[in-house]
This record gives sequence, structure tokens and C-alpha cells, in this order.
Amino acid sequence: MNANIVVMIVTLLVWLGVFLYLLSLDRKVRKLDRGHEN
Amino acid sequence: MPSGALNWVGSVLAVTAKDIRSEFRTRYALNAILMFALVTLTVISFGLGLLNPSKEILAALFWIILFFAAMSGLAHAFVREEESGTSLVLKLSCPGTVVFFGKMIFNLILLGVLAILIVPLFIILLKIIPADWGIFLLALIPGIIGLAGATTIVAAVVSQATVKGALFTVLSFPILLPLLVAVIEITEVAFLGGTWDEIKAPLQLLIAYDVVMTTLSVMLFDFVWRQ
Amino acid sequence: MVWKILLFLVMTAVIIGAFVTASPMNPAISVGSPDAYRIFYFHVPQAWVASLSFLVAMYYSIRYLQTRRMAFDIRAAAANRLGLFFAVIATVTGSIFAKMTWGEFWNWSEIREVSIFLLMVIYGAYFALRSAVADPDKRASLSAVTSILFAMAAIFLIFVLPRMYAEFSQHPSDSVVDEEGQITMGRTVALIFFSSLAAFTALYVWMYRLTIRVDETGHNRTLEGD
Repeated sequence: MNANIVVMIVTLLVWLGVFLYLLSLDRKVRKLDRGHEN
Repeated sequence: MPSGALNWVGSVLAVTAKDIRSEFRTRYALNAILMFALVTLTVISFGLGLLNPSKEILAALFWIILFFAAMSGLAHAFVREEESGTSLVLKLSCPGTVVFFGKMIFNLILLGVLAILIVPLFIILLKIIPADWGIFLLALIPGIIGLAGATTIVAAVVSQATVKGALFTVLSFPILLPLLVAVIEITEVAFLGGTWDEIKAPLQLLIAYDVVMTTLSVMLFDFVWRQ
Repeated sequence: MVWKILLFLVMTAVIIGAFVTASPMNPAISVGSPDAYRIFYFHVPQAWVASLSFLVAMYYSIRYLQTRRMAFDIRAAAANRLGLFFAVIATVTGSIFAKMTWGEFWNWSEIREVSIFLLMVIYGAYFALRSAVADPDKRASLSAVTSILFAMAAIFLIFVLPRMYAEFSQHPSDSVVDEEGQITMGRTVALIFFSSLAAFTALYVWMYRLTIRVDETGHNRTLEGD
């Protein structure tokens, strides 16, 4: 049981990291788009 | 035969003949292929020493030698054109299909010569004789047709690249893999001695591969050849 | 924006569900540690996405050859890149499972391992070609042609490879589909699995769009000489 929970927490953290990274990329791209149209 | 078709065949053979003549002068590709096959065969034979590899392994080894020998020499058909600057003339004077088949037949001849020389040497050095020559030829002939058919367009692609290096091998390998699997399986049966039933499935695949890949290559060739 | 939040929640739920619920393994027909089979919730969608990307790349390659529009080349290259990324991840999760279940990270006799390896070889060869051609237009046509040839070879391999290794496949597909071809997943298992599939697909779409946007910006910059 314990090992499963540990792996789960690690996976959740990894997923959180990936998600936040993608969000920041998304924002950067949005800014670029807006900046480029000007 | 209508004269248009005859003209087409004539043009194709003219391209092939021209390549054979250039090749005869320098013998670059032929040497590369033959030497590579010979060296590989010798190294394998020497490396195996007293070991007695199974017939299945020998079947695979046979095609490994052919594959790498082809990789060392078949790109030359197009690379030579680019290097000598004659590719522009060729593009202007002939339709894509003519060039494709002309080169494919040239490569086929190269492989044919290779096969004629390697088969006896393989038999002698690795001490194996196909139990069923009919089946062996059913692997060999469609096999080299498939090799020529699939690699001709890859050779054209590589000739347009800035950095060629091992590109021909890297690109050819995934494309040739189905061919290799089918052809090795048939050759195994040929070496072990088996029934025609056993080879029906891989043979169907082999023929299908030859037809489909050659057709696809012809269709795609113009996109490579003409920018 | 909403669907990104949804994606986050669904994937989080999948991860929790995967480790908290009972293992999806069917003990009657499978061997090894039941916990290893939890990877199934992640590994299969990854492999699915990697294959999907391959098809997307082929589609855009054909479109490029038809229209010669650079936008399609960008999309084809992006699909190949993302496909390689997921193929690598799928291989890693697959290896972890292999190590836990059969004791070794890799086994050439396992036909699925061979397939995913070949997919990576094809992706790698595609990028080897791209890096070998300087002119963008030439690079686009040569990549497109090669992509199509690879796709055809891959289709043949689907028919050829199982013949090569028919006796050896230990890939656990029996937990999901039994002899009659019926899906035998339990309800919870199915719920988590299909949610994961949906989440990974959504994740792929998002990453794909981002990749295209980034590549297009880079491409436009080059055109304008920034």
C-alpha cells in the first residue's frame, strides 16, 4: 500500500510540474502572438 | 505495342545504359558493393570459426550481408549525378518515371551481379547449401527487386541532402524492414528445406511489398526529383 | 481555458485512481506483481498517442506535397517531434513494467517492444534527414516524401512483425480482451482507463498546438530576418 502511495505522490508532482510548465509556455506564446500582431 | 510505350521503354533503357557505361568507367559503386559484401562475408566466416550456426541464423546473415552491401553502393546512382552536375540535364530531358525506372533497373543489375558472386561464395565459406533452390530463388529475386525498388527513391532523397553521411542507411533501414523480415523467413525455409505452403504468407507479403513500394516510389519520385 | 482545468482535474483523478483502486491485473491469466499492472493506465494511452501522432504527421506530409504550403511542413515536423517524445515515454513506462514483471528492462522477443523501438527509429531517421538538408523548401518536400514512405513501411510492419514473433508475445492483452474478443475490463478499470485515454489525447492536442505555435513563430522570425 505504501509504495503505491509514494509512487502516486511522485506522479502527481510530476504531472503538476508538467502542467504548470505547459501553462507558462502557453502564456508566453499568447504574449508573442499579441506582440507580433502590433 | 504502341510506339509511345516503346519510346518510353527505350528512354528507360537509355538511362540505364548511360549509367552502366559511367559505372563501367569508374566501377565505383560496383566495387563498393562487391568489396563490402566480400569483406563482410569473410569477417563473418572467420569470426564464426568452428562454430556451427543454425540454418535460421545463416539465412539472416545472408540478407544482412546483402543489405549492408546495398547500403554501401546503391546511393551512388543519384549521388554521382549531383556531384558531376549532370542531374540538371537529366531533369530537363526526361520525365520522372523514366529516370526512376532507369535508375532502378541499374540498381537491380548491380544487385544481380552482387547476388551471382555472393551466393556461391556464401555457400562455400559458410558451408550451407539451400535445400530447396526454387524457394531460395523465390526469396532472392523478389528480394533484390524489392531492395532496388525501395532504395531508388531513398537514394534520390539522399542525393539532395547537404550532408549525406550515413543518411542512406538510416532512411533505408525502416523502409526495408518488412522486406527483410519476409525474405529472411523464406530463405530460412529454403535452407531448412520445406514446403511451398510454409512460404505462402511471407511470399505474398514480399510480392505485395515489391508492388506497393515501387508504385509508391514512382508516385513520390517527382516530388523529390523536381523542386 | 476551461478544458485545460478539466484536463488537469481528470488527469489528477486518473493518477489517484490508478494507485488507490485495486490493480487492473487479472490474476487468473497474468503473472508478476499486481501493482506493476497499474502502469497500464499510463503506458497504453502513451503508446496510443505516439501512434496517433505518427498518423497526424503522415496526413500533414501528404497535405504539404499537395499544396506546398510551409504551414503543413511545420505541422508534420511538430507531429513527428511530439510522437517521438511520447514514444520515448511509452518505452520507458513499458520498460519499467517489463523489469517489474519479467525481470528485464528489454527483450527483443517481445513484439510490442520491437514495434515501439521501430517507431522511435523511424522518428529518429526523420529528424536525421531534416537536419541534413539546409534549404527549407527542399527539407519540407524530402521530409514529406520520407514520412509517407515510412508510413507505408509501418503499415507493412503491422502485418509482418506479429508473424516474426508470434510465439513470443507475452504482452498482457488478455486482461483486457479475452478469447472471444470481448472487452473484459471491470467497470472501475474501464472508467479510469478511458479517462486516461481522453486526458492523454487532450494533453497531446494541447502540446501539439503549442509546438506548432512555437515553431511558426520561429519560422516567421526567420522569414522576417529578426
